[in-house]
Amino acid sequence: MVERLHIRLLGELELSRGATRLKLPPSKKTRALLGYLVLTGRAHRRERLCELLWDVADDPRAALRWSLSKLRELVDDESATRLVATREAVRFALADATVDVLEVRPFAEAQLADVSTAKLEAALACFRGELLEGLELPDFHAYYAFCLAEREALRGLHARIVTELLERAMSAPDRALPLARRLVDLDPTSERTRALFLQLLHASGREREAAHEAQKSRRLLEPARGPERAPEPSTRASPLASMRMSEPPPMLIGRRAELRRAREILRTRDGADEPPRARVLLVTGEAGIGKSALFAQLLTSERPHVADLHRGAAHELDPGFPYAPLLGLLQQSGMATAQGDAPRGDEAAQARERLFHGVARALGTKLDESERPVLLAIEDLHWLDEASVLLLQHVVRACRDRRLSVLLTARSGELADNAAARRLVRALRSEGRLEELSLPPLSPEETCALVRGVAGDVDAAAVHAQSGGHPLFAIELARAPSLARAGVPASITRLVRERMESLAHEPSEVLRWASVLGTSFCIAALEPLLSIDPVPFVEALEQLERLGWLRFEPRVEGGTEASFSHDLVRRAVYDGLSEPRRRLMHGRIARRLAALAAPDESHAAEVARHAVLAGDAEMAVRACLSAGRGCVRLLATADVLTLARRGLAHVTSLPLPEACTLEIELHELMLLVQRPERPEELGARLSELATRALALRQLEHARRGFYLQSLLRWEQGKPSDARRFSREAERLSRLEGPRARLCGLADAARCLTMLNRDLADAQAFVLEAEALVAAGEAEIAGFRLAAGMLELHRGAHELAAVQLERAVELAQLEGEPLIEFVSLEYRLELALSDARLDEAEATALRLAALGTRMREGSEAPFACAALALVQVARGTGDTNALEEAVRALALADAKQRTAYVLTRWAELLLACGDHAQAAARAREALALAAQIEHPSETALARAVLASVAHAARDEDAFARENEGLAALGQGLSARARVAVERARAYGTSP
Amino acid sequence: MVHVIVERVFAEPADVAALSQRFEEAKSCFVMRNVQHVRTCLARDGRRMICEYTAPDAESVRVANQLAGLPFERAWSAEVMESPKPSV
Repeated sequence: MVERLHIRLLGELELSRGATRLKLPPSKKTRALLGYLVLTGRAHRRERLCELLWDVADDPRAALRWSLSKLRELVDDESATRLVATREAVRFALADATVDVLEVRPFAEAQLADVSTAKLEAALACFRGELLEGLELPDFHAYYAFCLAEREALRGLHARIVTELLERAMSAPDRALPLARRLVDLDPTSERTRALFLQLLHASGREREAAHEAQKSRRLLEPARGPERAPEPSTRASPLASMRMSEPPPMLIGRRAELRRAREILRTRDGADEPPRARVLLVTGEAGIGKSALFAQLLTSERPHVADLHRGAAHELDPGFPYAPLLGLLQQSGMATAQGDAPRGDEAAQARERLFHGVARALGTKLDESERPVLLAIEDLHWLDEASVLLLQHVVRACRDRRLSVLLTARSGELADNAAARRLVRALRSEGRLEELSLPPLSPEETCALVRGVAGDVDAAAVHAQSGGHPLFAIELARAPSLARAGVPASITRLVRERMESLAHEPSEVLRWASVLGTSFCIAALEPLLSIDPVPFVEALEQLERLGWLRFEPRVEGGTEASFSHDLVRRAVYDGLSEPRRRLMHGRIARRLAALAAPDESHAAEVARHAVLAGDAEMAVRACLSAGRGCVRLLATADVLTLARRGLAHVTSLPLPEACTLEIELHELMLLVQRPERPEELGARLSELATRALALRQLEHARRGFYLQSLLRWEQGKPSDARRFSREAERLSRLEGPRARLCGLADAARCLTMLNRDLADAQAFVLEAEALVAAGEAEIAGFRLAAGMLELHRGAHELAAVQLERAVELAQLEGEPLIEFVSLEYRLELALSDARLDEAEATALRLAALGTRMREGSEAPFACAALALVQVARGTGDTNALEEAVRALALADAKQRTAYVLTRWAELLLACGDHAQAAARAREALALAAQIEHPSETALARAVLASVAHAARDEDAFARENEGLAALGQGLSARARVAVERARAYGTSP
Repeated sequence: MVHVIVERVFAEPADVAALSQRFEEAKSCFVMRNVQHVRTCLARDGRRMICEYTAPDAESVRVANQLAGLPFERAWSAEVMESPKPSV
């Protein structure tokens, strides 16, 4: 016995006999043909079927024959021949087969309130999915229209059955909830259904799910409504009352010119010579620019002037949901006849034609009956499904000579993605029926008026600046708790995220990376970050430009500059990224920029910015340093300080030794451009850092730290360049062990101080030596001598005395007569400078005694000359003896020591009024000092000569010496500086 | 500039390589004082050495050698005597 045949058309096509499911032919057309024959249930001419499904085949009739042969194997059996085919026609004879659609269809005509719950539930069980799921075949228009019309009718029936059952189950939320969920699935954009669903969720105690659904509802419903906020659908008061979520129309500010123009277009010119004709106005602009507000305002203002107003809106969510915007529109306007006839059409072409003609006829009748026009208003044309577009086009054509006004809105960028809508616009343009109105951003005054209505105390200028005159952004910014926080309002972030969700992978990725790069960026910088081939990359860019996300401009230096149309959008995209992902992206950008062969300053600043945001503190600090050094070269002081401070903010989070070494470098960077406000504080910090660097064996950085500290103490100035660390420092860095380094530091400091050169380096070496001694290294005479020499040089006599006294003690202990001699030599100078002649004589005597014990050199002659000088100064000496001692010293060929004695002698002579002799000694001293290029000795000799010239009123000589003094560079000792100042104080002429 | 002669005496034959190394390490002391090495003569027994420099004065050479740790007995400025013309 043959099992009964069951045919299921709701959901995927399914055939079974008993419990056995039959294998269907792979050809979609063959399966679609079966569905068509079963649904229509009558005979069709073979030509008609060929046109329906094989209009492009080489041999349609053969194709039809082949399909019929495949179907016959499935549906025919011993008991019945169901596929009845003659040479002319084909039909499906049901016999005893069951078909799910035929079982539910009777309910369409029935009063569901009279049907038992069991029957309704049985009917509901038939709805496994969409009619002929996957078999809509959009390339075969007639069949497609038939399929859509049938689906719509069945979806309506499905919804009616669910609604009926839902109403019966309202008292039991657990039973009602699955039905409400099913209803939401059937029409996700119905606010009414969603509100009911939320009420049931609350009633069932499913608060978390309710909150999630409420959020989802806002997301789904808000874009269609424009900038107005979605009402909170989760209110608990009166479930049925809350199902109606009416909203006030969006506020319209400004747009006077646009409104005037729109009204001119929409209002048929009564009494004018021009015959009636259909007019279409398309209002375009980016999302949130105010199309909905304008749309609502136009509907309000046009309502008194029209016979009928039919309003609808397309939704992004389900663009394939046919006729939804127009069906709603027609139901609202009482044109149920047209809507009701069409979906029940028996045959595809007829079904569509009847639908189209019915709508057009109803509209035409209405237009003929009234003097006033009918206004069709449809929002968001860019989301309108193809069937609705075709219906709209048909209606406009059918009513082309009537007073039909059509108002459409569309996002200009997204219109291009809807082929049917694009074709409609093109056709209307070519027919000369389309008027277009593009909405620009609001002016500052309009923005001000807009936001004042939202929040009276908001800074309207700031809102305009941030929003760029974009009304939606302006409203959301004004509503935000604090504009000063500069955060992106959550509503804008949500809107942007929703728009992004509609993008393909490549454009989304481009947007995300672009948001991380910044408000504007070079395309060349973006491309390497993405793992996208060049062609999809360019296509993604084109799409983003078309949709108004990005703008492009050629760069002066070549390449293309891209920027977000609104920074708020960029920030919203950026805010949508998770924190780990942001850090990852910033890190990748930073590394890529840092890896560039020759990064310029802007690159370095960018690296720093991205590294900071990536949380890579070391890279951030190094980039700040690199960028800062670049800015130093450009003399961009403010930028240098900003970068250095930014680096300092991150350096503390680094591990040692980088925390220490990089902080030293950052302070060095700041000192290159600016003297600190609190030098003592910084000096103490640098001392701490340098000492720590020393302990960490970061010798170079320790030395740099000491050098910077010495600058603050010594020259009170800024590093002249990045030259630091001369060969002296290099030599010192090679010395192994703290003892060797201490000796090297002391020698280097002495060497430089004697020459009056690189005194900051000398001070740095002393500081480093001090740190070594503080760390436990035994002090040495050479170190104390160097410290004393430096203190004396800068005029700190008391400190110098302490250091030099200690140097003498240590030198005696160490058996270093040369160090002892030089220490005493400087103590002599100290005593002479302080006019302590007794002490000077005593010191000179010690020098003389020591000099006799030393190897041949300049020490013994110097000691004799010094003693003679002191004695002359005291008035107990003999100038001849001094003269003789100076000659002996000259023979030893120690020019600095000789010049020193001569100058001191010249000063004594000057003080006694013996100007001629003073000048003679000073000239000798000057000649010697010049040969060894010693700045302080040269200055002292010239100062004496200037004084002599001043006293003698020798203008030429005075001017010459002053010029010579002015030409002297850095490094003068305190004594020399005092002498120079005194000479200058005489004035420019004697 | 003057010619400066430096006399060195060593208890043991001089380690010329070590001396050269020390000179190189402390070269900045010489350079900063405009002291230029001209030539060096070493006794065949390696215990005496004469170094000739040009410098602003002898003291510069002394100080540079002291700071470099190069031992010397004395340093003195000298005049270069004209050498007899070679006979043809």
